[in-house]
Amino acid sequence: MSESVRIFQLSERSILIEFNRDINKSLLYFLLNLKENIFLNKGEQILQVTNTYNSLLVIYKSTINNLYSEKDNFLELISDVSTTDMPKTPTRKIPVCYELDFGLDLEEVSKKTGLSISEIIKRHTRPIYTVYFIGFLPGFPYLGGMDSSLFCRRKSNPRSKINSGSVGIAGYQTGIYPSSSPGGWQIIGRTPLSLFDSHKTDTPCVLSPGDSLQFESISKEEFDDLQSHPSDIKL
Amino acid sequence: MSIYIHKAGLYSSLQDKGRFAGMPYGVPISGAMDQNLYHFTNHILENPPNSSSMEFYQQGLELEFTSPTFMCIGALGGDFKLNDKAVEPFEILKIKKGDYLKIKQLTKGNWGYIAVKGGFESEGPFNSQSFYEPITKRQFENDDVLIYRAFDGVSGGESPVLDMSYYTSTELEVSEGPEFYKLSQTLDYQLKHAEFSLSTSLNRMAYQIQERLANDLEEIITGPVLPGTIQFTPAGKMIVLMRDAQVTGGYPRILQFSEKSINQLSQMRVKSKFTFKLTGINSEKI
Repeated sequence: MSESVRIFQLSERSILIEFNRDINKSLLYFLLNLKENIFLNKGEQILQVTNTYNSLLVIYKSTINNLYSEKDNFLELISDVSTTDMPKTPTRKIPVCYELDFGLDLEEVSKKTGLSISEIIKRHTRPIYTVYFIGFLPGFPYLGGMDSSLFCRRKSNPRSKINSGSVGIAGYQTGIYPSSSPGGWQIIGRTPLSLFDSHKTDTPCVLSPGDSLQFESISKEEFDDLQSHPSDIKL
Repeated sequence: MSIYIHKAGLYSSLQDKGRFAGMPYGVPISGAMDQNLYHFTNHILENPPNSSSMEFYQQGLELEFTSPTFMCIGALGGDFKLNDKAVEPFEILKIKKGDYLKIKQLTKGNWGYIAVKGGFESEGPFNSQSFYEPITKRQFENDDVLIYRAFDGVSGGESPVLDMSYYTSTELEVSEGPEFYKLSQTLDYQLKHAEFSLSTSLNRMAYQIQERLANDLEEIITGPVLPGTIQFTPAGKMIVLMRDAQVTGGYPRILQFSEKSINQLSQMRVKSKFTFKLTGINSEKI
């Protein structure tokens, strides 16, 4: 493990732990376990630990004085992680309307991937995705498991506004905008589901790292209906 | 018990040290743009370290106090009047009911702070009062009311003096970002030696650098970013992430500002020129 890890001081008060390994569920589960180990062992020094696909960012309460001892400490915690499989979680169904009104970049993605729009929808709704982390915007889930034939680079000039609920592709990633925001993802559809509620400060996000989900194609009528009756959405 | 905001000015908000509790949910750290000035101003009033202050951008505020307190304006320079009488930054001002503060403009810097004894009261999602939409309101608007606890005692004596040399340096301390090692020798040289300037795109989320550099780096798999991270976009733009920055990003992270240089940069105005001073914060290797 140690030969594929990079422990890098990102700022006065933070250390980035990055694994040079394939992005997959077992790496995610490994990271989530390591995150827990760090909180358990270093909780007093630490303000926060966040994960992405292949990294943890550890934020300290005060300036890091001795990087070497922190590195040694992390290498030890890394070797202590038990690499058991991801526990099975129920698959949640996320309704998405892929009509062109919402799928602003479907035609561009079609051109870039060489796939028809109906084929894009088919390949986007087929897999079971894993929530790797929440980032970019409050409640924005980064999902793994996208069909690699849907690969499409981010727009080189980001849009100044992308509507809440928009579903997008960036490189090999797919995700959902939980609120309106500027952004560079290729937009292929929209969900009526609300992903983030700031009033629930203990569980503000509908989705958490480790969750499984699948997209379900719905019509514009169903979209309108679910948007006006959000309690009808069964996850 | 409150300040009545007659004129809210631009991008005025409540800020403190920021929040870390929301990061796993994608909630930015936020907090005062210039933490140095924010802390200094609170320190003058002997406030607890995380007391919230009203942060404002450059100009145009009119505020009326409805109960007694002590107030202090933190600013690098500007035109401030309390009941039509000129007052200075960092003065401890005794406030009584009906006092009227006009902030015409800042003559130096971008961000100023208005602190009252004990700080302001507001909701504090994820342990911070810092504004960030959608978890709080976006910014103050005209006719908003800002609550504080009235204070009728005595406060401090001599005000400490702000070290202004902190803000005159045009050399900003940075360290290598996680993708710095991927840069070509040309880019490495340009970053270390060229002069850069700020574009007109400055806000609490990011400051964009005017000059573009040829970028042939691959996009990265989305990773963590922080305030002070410089992202390098495919179009060759350098974007310095500021306090309201997202917690993750997919552009290469080429440099990282120090805490001090984030504060310094925050106060630099459009078109300001600066150079990077690369320091060895993360030069050690395993």
